Amino acid sequence: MSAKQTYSDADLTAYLDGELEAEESAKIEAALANDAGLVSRAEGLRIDVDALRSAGTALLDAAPTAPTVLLQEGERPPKQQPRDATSPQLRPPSCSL
Amino acid sequence: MASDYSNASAIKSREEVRQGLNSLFPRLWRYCLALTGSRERADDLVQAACLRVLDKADRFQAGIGLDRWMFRLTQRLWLNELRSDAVRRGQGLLPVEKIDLPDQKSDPRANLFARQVLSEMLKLPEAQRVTVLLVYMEGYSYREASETLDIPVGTVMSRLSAARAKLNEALGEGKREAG
Repeated sequence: MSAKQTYSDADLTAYLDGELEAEESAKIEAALANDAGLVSRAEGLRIDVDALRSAGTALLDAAPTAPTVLLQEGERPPKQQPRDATSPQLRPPSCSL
Repeated sequence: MASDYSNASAIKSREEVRQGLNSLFPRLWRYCLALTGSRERADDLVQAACLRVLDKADRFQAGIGLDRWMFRLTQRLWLNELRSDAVRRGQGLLPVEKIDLPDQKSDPRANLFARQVLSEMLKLPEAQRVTVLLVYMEGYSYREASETLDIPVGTVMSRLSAARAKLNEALGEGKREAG
């Protein structure tokens, strides 16, 4: 019998996130089948990733509007004037690559 | 001739970066929110970050993806230049404010839960917040997140496991989670 392999919370996290190679993942799965302590540690790391992603999507809608420096000349509010050399008029390049 | 070429190509890449940044802006702002932990600081940081990214546009190489490149530049800008100012002004001590999230689903409980999840996520320490954002909200692999944050993959793993433990304790286990 080989010594019992121990897994860190980081290993379990990688397992939950599907970041492990198939072989390593299978080992953890086997260990989970035989080790109630490991199962309870894994349970303590479970989160609702879908809810997190969905909250992240909602956050995108809460973003402010993009600053005028990111808009094309025609899209900028009229009061905005080119201030200095750091914001040159953007034109399509006249020569191609 | 060489200088004409590089000038034209600099303008071209600046224009490409500007357009890309314009469409990626909400994601950049969300990233700034995870970095700074507050809406006010995120709004400041994202403005500075846009200028920085445009300023460095001629160094952008398509290999890495504009999103990860702008995240890297923004993180450096925050860590090296802006965070210490924010902390000195005492903003770092402000409690995390609630962000008003638009409803995403018809189920009010799902929307409420999304707000709770976000509120708990924003309470995490900065290093964990930004890693959670990249892996669970952006959907990056551990490797992509490690390259973006310039940290080892093992650090990504330990940050995520610490974040998972805290979120699990605050929110209860994710019964509905698929994986």
